[in-house]
Formats: sequence, structure tokens, C-alpha cells
Amino acid sequence: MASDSASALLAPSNRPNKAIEDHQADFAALTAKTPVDNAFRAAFVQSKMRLAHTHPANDIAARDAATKSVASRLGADASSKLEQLARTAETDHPVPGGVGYGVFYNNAFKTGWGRGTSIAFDIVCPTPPGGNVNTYLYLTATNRSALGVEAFIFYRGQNDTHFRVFDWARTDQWQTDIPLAGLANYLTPMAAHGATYQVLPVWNSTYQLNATTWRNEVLLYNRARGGWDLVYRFDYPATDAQQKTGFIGSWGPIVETFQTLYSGTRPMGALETLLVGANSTGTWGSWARLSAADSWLRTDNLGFQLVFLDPNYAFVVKS
Amino acid sequence: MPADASAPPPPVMVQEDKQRTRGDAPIEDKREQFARKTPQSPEDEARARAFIDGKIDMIRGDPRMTDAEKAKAIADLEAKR
Repeated sequence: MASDSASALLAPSNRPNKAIEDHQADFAALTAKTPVDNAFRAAFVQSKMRLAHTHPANDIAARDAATKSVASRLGADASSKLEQLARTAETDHPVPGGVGYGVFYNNAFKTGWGRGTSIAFDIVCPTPPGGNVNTYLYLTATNRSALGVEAFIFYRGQNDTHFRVFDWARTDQWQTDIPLAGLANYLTPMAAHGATYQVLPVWNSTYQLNATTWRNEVLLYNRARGGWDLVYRFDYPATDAQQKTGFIGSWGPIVETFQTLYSGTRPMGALETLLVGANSTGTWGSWARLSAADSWLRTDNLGFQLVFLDPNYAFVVKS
Repeated sequence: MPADASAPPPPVMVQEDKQRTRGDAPIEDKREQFARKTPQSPEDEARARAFIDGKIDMIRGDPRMTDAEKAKAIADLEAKR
């Protein structure tokens, strides 16, 4: 095959090359014989739209610009493919756990406490969650202990929101379960970065009572009387090693997800995440905000976009 | 409610912001009001399995854990199901 110009591109030098031959017609003929795979083509377009929609580094405006840009390149059908994907996410069976956005403890911080550890944080929990949430969504956190509790907001679709306690120290793990509508004295507005959010202040602790016995506790802040209410307690036998080994206890506040893509959800997250530990003699230190030095951020690119992050003790995301 | 000697001190608001200031009324025991009134059901067991399965998938998607760490963490969680 003759070169089209004097400056024609040379073949890569890593393989022997006698001469370039033109087989375009052969390949076109083979392609013509191959049935058109419309499902694949649709999935390809859908995937590109999803990539644009869920890019974690984009804000909402940049996301919309990216999806519009991709749609303009892929044809009029592309926008409908994204809508179709969101609808599929609504109707699909739950997709087991991902992290829409959230904070994980560094290993040293996760185990850097003695006879007790405690977390207090304000869960930013809109009701309803909005958008295409049609399965489970959790707003949860651990206090670093492996046998502690998750005291968290549980969404199932738009109209079924509860405060629940899952106790990792028990075999009958599900304990407290209160519809959020019954927590009027505990839900409170909180301002952050120029907006006001509905929050549920939660405080949960795990600490050693004696050589063999540990305690899990959950408290909610009662705004009506201006004090913390103890809502759950469980004492159990455990060892220090059991409390500090394994994956459980590694996450701070997270948005735990069960769909492949989120769109249109209202702002949610956590404000004012504070932790404190007791040393090896049981003396508690001072409460301190969760710092960027002690934790890292995880997002599984499911469509959540940051509204703000105060590294790493507060964040709000939406989709 | 008297504080347990081993218990942590109440959280303090770090930010100096009037809106964020919280009262310091003593802790009250509301466990009776919040306690679960029904025994664990088969549905609870299924929900617990689903809850733990969610954590297992969080492990699978963890970008920082090695394959060996993931295998061990998943085995630990499967033992809790």
C-alpha cells in the first residue's frame, strides 16, 4: 500500500513489518455479516452516560455538562439511556453494599485506643431521601471497636425511614428500631456552610467495665430538654484483641448504598464527627474532631457529589 | 442518671457557634422507651444476613485492602452471619 503522504506515520518499531496492506473491504464485509448487537450498543451508550454522571471529581453542574457533552456525541437516544439506568436502579433488587461517600479510619487510629472508644456525630438525614432511592440506604458509622454498635439511619425507599441499632457484639444483632417520625424531640436543624440541615445527633460508645466485660451504649441528644438520652446498652464478655481486630470498626460516617446509581437525592451526610478514646488505664482523653490525618475518604462513584467537606469531620453529598 | 465510672464524658461542641451550643442536662435513661419489645424473628435473621452481606461487598470494593486482607475480613464476617 502506498503512503498517502511523505510524512506518513511509520509502523511501530517493536515488531517486524514488511509492508502495510489494505484489508478494509474484507473487514467491512465480515462486519456486514455479523448481526447488529443492539443490546450491546445500548449498554455501551448507557455506560458512557453513567461514567459521565458518576465521576466523583465533578460537581453537579460539571456532571450535567459532562452528560450533555456525551449525549451530544452519542445521539439523541443517549439521554434516555441515563434515565433508563436510573429507573433500573429504582426497580432492581438491592445491589449489596457500596460506599456512596464516607470516611474510613486509618489503621493506626482505628486501633489507637485503650479501654474505650466513643463517637458522636450529627447524621444529616433528610426525610424523605429523595431522588431515585427505592431500596436500602444507610447513614451509619462505627466507633472503631469491632464489637461495637452501628446506630444509624435506615432508609427503605422514600417513605420508610428508621433509626436502628445493629449490635455487633450480639447474635440477635437487631435491637432498637424506631420510625424517624417518632423522634421529633431528637431531630434538630443544624446550619453548615450556609444551609440548614435536619440532623440526628448520635453518640455511641464501647468501653471496658472490668477485666472481662465490655459495654456498648447508644445515646441520642434530646433537644427538648437539652441533654443526652441513653437509649441502648449491652454488656458482654470480650477481649481487647477482639475489639481491635478485623474490618468491623473501620468506618466513620458513611453513606452506605445498595443501588448502582443515584440521582436526585437530597443532601445527606454527617456534621461534627467527634471521637475520644480511653487509655490503657481507662482514663478518657478529650473529644476531638475526626481529622484528615486519621482517616481517608472513599467513594464508589455511584453518583454522589460533594456539597462540602470539612476534612474529615463533616461532609454533605447529594446526587 | 448517675454516670458510670468507666463511661466517656459527654461530647463537647468544638465549634464556637451559638446555634451549635447544646445543653448539658444530665443523661437520662430512656432504654425502656426505646427497647425492642418483640423477640428476634426469622425476618430479623434474614435482615442481619443482608446487613452483613452489605459489609462484605464493602470489603470487596475497598481500594486499599490487599486480596489477602479482604479474604480474611470476609471470612470473619461470614462467620457472623
